[in-house]
Amino acid sequence: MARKLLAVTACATGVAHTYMAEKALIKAAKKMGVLIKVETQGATGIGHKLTAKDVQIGEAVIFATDTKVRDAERFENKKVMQINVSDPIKDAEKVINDALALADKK
Amino acid sequence: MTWKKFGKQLETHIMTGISYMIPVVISGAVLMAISRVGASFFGISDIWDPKWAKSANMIIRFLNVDDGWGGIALGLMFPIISAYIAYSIADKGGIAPGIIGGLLVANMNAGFLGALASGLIAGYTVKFLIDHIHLPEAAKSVLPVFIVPVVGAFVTLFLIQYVIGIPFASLNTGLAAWLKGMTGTNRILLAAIVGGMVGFDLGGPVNKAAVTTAMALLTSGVYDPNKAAQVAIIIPPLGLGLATVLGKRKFNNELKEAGNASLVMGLIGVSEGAIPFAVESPLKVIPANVIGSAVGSAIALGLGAVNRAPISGFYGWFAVEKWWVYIFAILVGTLIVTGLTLLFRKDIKEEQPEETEEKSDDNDSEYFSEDQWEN
Amino acid sequence: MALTKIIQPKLVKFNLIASDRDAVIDQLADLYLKNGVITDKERYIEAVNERETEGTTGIGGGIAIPHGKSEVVKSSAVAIAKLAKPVEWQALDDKPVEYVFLLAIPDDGDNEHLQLLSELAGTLMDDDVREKLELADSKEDLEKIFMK
Repeated sequence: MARKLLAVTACATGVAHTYMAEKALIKAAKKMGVLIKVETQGATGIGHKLTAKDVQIGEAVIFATDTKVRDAERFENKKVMQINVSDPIKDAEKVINDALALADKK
Repeated sequence: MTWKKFGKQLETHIMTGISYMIPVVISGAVLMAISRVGASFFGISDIWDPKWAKSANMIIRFLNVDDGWGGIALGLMFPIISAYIAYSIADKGGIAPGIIGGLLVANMNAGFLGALASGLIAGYTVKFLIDHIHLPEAAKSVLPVFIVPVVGAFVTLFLIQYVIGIPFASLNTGLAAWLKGMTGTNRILLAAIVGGMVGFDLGGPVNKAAVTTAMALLTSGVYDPNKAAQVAIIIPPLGLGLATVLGKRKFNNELKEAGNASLVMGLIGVSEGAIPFAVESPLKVIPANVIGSAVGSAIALGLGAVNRAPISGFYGWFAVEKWWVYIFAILVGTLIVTGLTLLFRKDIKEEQPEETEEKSDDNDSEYFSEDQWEN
Repeated sequence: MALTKIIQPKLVKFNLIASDRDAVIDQLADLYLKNGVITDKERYIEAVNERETEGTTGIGGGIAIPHGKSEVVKSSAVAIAKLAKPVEWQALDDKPVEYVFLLAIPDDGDNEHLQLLSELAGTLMDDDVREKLELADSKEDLEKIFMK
């Protein structure tokens, strides 16, 4: 069974980095055979909003955010990894490996 | 935030509420249709009357129960739309205050405008609470489980009861009294006024004022207002339902579904079928309904159709004296609502390419299917 | 893709000559001022620099995507430049920057344009797009990459 991750990306301006981080995560996950759903919280609103069901399925959540995550209470009981929005842009594979390690940690 | 942006967001919130409400409306409409159409085979046109619960015929007893089920489903319309408008605005926290406020709206007959208000009040109240109350880490869990539901529900209920409820209630009694005083005036004008009021808020305070007054007058042998009301009740759901069939491009899929339910509800005499449309764009739908209902009522009366029973569904049509006039009046009113609606509404075509674009974008980013995700 | 809607040929520069980051931004801001995208160059540059201090916009692969959000911006826009000589940008991968996408973001821009800018930013993560950038030989090539 494929591994499943969730991510939320957001940056201060909400126009550029949010979406670059999204693409970087998806690109890397695809390459690594990991399924990931990425929610973008940008200036034009929330994109690909994660549903309660998504949250239930995902093993861990990556917050690649430089601002406060909107509706963060959705992820209350999940394992959350907080990083900067530029981290996935720099090295998304490392971010995903870290998140998988977090998911495996008891 | 600019007004334009705010309006756009408001639209999404309301659309979210509608999309959750439509399945409820459809189940209610179909349950009621089964009961009412079924009852018409037995020559019964008031199957909702409690007297049928004691019928010797088991099928009739069941149809009476089934009509009640439909009523329960339709009674949930306002709580559901209010809850999910609030949910769209404020997430999970909005649901409890929204549903409680919506039930109050349903109980006090504040109509769809009341339900809309309830959802917005609940949603924005909860959003305000969540955004502005900052508790220390240790006490944080108190916010979603205690403060938000309790304060949210209290504020919503208080505003609906005293700020929205009182004017609505006095509007209702005021209009009823005014209507009673008008029985001596020109019959056709009166019919148009009753028809317009019925079409205005589809079961809300204005509508109820007209319908209950008409029924009260019926018992004292004044048939005109009743006739006008019965014609007008079914024109908006039929007209809007027909509009979704004729103007496919002007409605999204959800509203098209609502349109089918609306046609069914129109035929069985339930004006609430038009509510999803009225909530979605009240400024366009209300005038169309008022004009269509008013004209339809005026024609029915002017050409001398007489409906003595408080029944508006199709199974009552043939009991009407001069039923062809009656049906003609309904037809004209319906076509007016349909025509005006199609005229007021823009094609959603311009948005569609955007949607497909988004979809192709989805295909880029979602390299796996929902099935893979869920298994 | 509707990226064509925001990419204006007059805002694309090939072989821009600039000695450092500030000079690149200054020249592109000049372009904005001339074309009526911004009303006040100094205040716009201030906004861009402010964003830069929050974290580098050099996203690696020789690409930088500086952006300024300010009330002096009249309409959403992007200025694209391939530099004649790469400049230092403290990029995420420490490589100098050769391609600059300077975004202008109004304080309350309409959603459609902002979405296009976001989409543009997203495409810059594509290996395919990065490769084409490197192969671009002229201003026209540069424009074509995003006008598919």
